[in-house]
Amino acid sequence: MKKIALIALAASAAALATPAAAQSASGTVGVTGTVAAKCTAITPITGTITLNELALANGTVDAAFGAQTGGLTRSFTVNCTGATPSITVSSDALNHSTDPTTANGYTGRVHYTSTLVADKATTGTATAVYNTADVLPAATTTNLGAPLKNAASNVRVTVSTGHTTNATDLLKAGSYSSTISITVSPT
Amino acid sequence: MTRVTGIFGKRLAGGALVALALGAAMPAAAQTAYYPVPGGPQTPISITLAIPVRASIGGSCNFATAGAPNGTYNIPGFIDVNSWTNDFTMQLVCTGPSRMAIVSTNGGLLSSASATTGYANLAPYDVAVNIVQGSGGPTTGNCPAANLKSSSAAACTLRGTASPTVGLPFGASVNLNGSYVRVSAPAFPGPDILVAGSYTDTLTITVSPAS
Repeated sequence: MKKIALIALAASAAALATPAAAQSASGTVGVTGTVAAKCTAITPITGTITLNELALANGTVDAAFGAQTGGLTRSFTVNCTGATPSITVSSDALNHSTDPTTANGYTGRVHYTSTLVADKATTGTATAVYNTADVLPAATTTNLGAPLKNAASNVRVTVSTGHTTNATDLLKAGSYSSTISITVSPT
Repeated sequence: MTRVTGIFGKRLAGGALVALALGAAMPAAAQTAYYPVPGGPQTPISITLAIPVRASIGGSCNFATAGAPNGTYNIPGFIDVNSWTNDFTMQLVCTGPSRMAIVSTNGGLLSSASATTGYANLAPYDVAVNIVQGSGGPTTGNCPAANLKSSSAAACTLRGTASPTVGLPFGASVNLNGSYVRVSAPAFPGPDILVAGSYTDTLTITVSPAS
């Protein structure tokens, strides 16, 4: 009887010496956030292209805008979060400040081309071209089909190809101005 | 300590003592007890045996009822332009030294949208814990979520599934208020651009008694 009691005690001691089995408890939390599709102009899309004298010596338009100063291109830095942003360009013609009409061999309106180029994040560029006319066409939009390159000066606009409604028309003396509208949208 | 008293015959008293002392640590050897020898001294021989009993009471550690950190935090605004922070409160029932560990499923806020050069679809954030203890100040720890991903090799005491040897150690904390898991981030710093889309991550927080 005593022998049985001793064996039982030894077994109990061994059982008590074993560390308790590890147990753990858990909780789960979620965190969600959003990034909106958007484009942000890191450098303001503003500036002036100074063409100076628009006419050649013979009075017709200088198609190359050869008298310009500061260049015919302006660059901007735009960030877009969208996967396939679009660029849009439009403008009015270079209109005489007081008389933009065309008549009798003279004109107060110079048409030109605006070329908007955006760098793709993958490779290459996307281009939107807009030509003014007496009846202004709709703005030109081009989708990049790829993200906009995350780099400085990734959007550029260039003016070129000055012309008049009638190629032989002479430009009226005075001041001419035009505004180019550029839009970079996230889709 | 448990004391066992036995009555033994003269002849084997000494031998029986040795055998019993070993019995506490190994299977008991066969024992025989004798009454006093007829005609001999009639006073029973009494021997006191000391049997050491080793005991280990493992602490327990759980979240209190409804005290586990749970739920989803929807970050207001946009993570690329807004800073944000949120506390998931928790209440523990940990009776002794314990550990807490966390695993981040994505190692940050991840979007399913693809990201090409110059773009990112994983937004970093920080995870911090504050555990109010029964004595002393709170135990704190923090790591970037990136370091809490199970595959991360970066040093982070909080990473993993809590076990007696894994996780941030802390002392007893039983039904105390003020413990939390905090998630936060500044506006995404760049230079990459976060792609548009929804971002998400899941944190699994575990607690365990420590060894």
